[in-house]
Amino acid sequence: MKHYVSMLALLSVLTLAATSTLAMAEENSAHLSGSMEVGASGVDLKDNPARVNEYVKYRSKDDGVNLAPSLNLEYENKGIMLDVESITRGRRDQNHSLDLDYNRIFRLNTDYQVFEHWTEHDNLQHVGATMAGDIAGDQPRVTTDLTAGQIGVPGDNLAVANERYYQELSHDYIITHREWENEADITIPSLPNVTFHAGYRIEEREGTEQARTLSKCNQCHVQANPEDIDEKTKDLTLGVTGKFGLITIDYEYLSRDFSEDGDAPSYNYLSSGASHNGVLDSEQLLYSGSEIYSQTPDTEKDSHTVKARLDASRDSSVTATYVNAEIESDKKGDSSYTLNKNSLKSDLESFFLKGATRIGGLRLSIRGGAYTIDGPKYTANYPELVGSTILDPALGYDTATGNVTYKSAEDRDVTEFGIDGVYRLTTGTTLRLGYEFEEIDRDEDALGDTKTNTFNIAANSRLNKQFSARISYQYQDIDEPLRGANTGILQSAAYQDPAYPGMAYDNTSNYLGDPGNTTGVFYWNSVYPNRMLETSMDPEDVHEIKFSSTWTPASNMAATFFARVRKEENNSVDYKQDSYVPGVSFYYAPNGKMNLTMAYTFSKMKTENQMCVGWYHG
Amino acid sequence: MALNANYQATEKLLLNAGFTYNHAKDNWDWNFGDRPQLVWAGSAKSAYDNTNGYNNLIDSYSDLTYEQYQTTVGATYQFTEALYASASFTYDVFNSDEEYVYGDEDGKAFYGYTGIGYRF
Repeated sequence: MKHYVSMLALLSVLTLAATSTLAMAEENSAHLSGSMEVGASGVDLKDNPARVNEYVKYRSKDDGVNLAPSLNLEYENKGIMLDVESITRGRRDQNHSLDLDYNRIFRLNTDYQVFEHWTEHDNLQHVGATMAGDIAGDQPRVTTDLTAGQIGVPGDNLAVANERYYQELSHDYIITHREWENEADITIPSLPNVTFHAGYRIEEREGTEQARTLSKCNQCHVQANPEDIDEKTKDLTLGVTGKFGLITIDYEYLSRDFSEDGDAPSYNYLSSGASHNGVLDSEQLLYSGSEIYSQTPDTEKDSHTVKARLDASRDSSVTATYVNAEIESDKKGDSSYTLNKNSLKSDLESFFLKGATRIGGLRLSIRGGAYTIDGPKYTANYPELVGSTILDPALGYDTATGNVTYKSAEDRDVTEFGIDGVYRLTTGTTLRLGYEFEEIDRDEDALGDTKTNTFNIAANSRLNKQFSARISYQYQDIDEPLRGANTGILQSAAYQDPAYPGMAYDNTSNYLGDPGNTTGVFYWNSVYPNRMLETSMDPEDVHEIKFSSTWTPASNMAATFFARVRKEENNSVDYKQDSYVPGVSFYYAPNGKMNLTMAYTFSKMKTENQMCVGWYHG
Repeated sequence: MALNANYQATEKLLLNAGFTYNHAKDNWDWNFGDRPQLVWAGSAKSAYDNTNGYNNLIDSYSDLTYEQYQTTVGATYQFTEALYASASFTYDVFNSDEEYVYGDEDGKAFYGYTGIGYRF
């Protein structure tokens, strides 16, 4: 709100200043043009406004009328240029911008916008899809958060829990976005080859969103709550660009600060009174009792970017880019576990080179580089599990201390290389050939290393004065794409149940020898380590064809046809995805008084994949 | 699909109209027989046989369809070279044909704007 008031005040001052300089501008033959408009916007909403008014126009949910002023102003005089655009259609439907140039010594650009967005509101009923006894989504245990007999909630019952559910359904989840972005450049006349840059951006998200969580026997105890959102992201950038003969050097420092001041929702995680093999189920649950959840940690980021470019000739250049960034997030444990540090830190370091030149009719560019991500390494301690059972040390759980050491899945060394050539076949026709290579070497061995070879070919032609066309084809060969975790057990014919074709079963006695099963067979010792099915939505082969053609039979008529076909496959996990996106656009101006535009796009995507669905009852 | 037209009706009156239609449909099918399942502790239970229809609910809950219609008409009238008035009216309709996941999302919206302006 403070920014909103500040922006309005700034615009008011600028409007008055521009108006007061009108007479002066006329005296000096200055240029002043624009328009001012005063109006009213009104909204009348029927039924559910959440989707029809998802990106809010004028008002989010209450019918009514808003004052709607707007201003468009251009002023130029003696090297001073001012451009102001301001549109207000509602209290939270505004766009304002200002550009100022003072003799190319000082340049300022500032933008401010406000808008609202209805976010999704899941009614959770579909969670009962695999529940025994669920009839058309009416499974009564789903979504209710019954806390009878739980810590600190005496006398709770199903009717009260259902009432909480209906209260949650009645919430309006709306987020207000505000963004104020400023960029300023200063070039000192005595140092004309050096320009200093500064920028400041504030982005705010405020309102409520739906948060969801679950506790034991997940589909029976899924819960949703309204979560207060009060996020603020502040960016400060400082930089300098210098041109020294054939060399241009650019440096930028970015400091980003993210904070969330909204109250996180809480959930009374349900416990269990049952026991198996002498071990209480409640002692195996990570959470029990009231805990906050869906909390976004505060984060800070600092980055340094240096670019150097050598323009050896009109057609030949070499560019080098170095980036060093550090991100730190506040993180701590809760009543169920502790961390050995209060913040998690990631580092990024990258270096890339690019060269471009022209050899006769061939434009050639070569690029390559590498970057490293060094993610957080930390140890979590789960004291409640110690003594309850003995977990497999190979899974990373130290049974003596209760410590689990984590390694970030983002830890990696990445190498990239690419070459592109564009050759002019005839006047108006070019052929492009390209090749890219990427290798991702992940520190976490279980996630594998990925190598990607990408081949591109494209032709672009203006066939005659009426027709132009472009067609391109891309093929990607991806070796060992990032796989999903193993998701299903007993995935072979050896476990087929002869009584029920398509079903599989096994006896728990066959798992007594698994590590940790000292007093009985425990789910966590024998289900998780014995998963066999590997699933993924990452392809090994990708084919993509794009086509676009424009027909311009006359100056008052034009038609464009475009199409994109993409096929992804990963035969090793039976994944397949096909996409088809054809479309057409048409422009026609039958006379000087009328013009018509028409556009149609069709999009179809079909995905085939394997999955494992859990059935729960009890 | 989108259609838009601008028409200079008279020297002082400019008319515009637009219509946008969007149809989205998503469905999900699976072949239950392709996926053997585990019943932990013992044998398979008849209650989970595919014939009882429980598994088919996954298909039903994944059928999501909606349609959007947006119609806009507007006009600008030039009283003088500098003074003008403008007005626009928009009628939006969202029809959610399936209520799984997000409930009944059907809605309609009427948006109106009118203003008077001065060019300098």
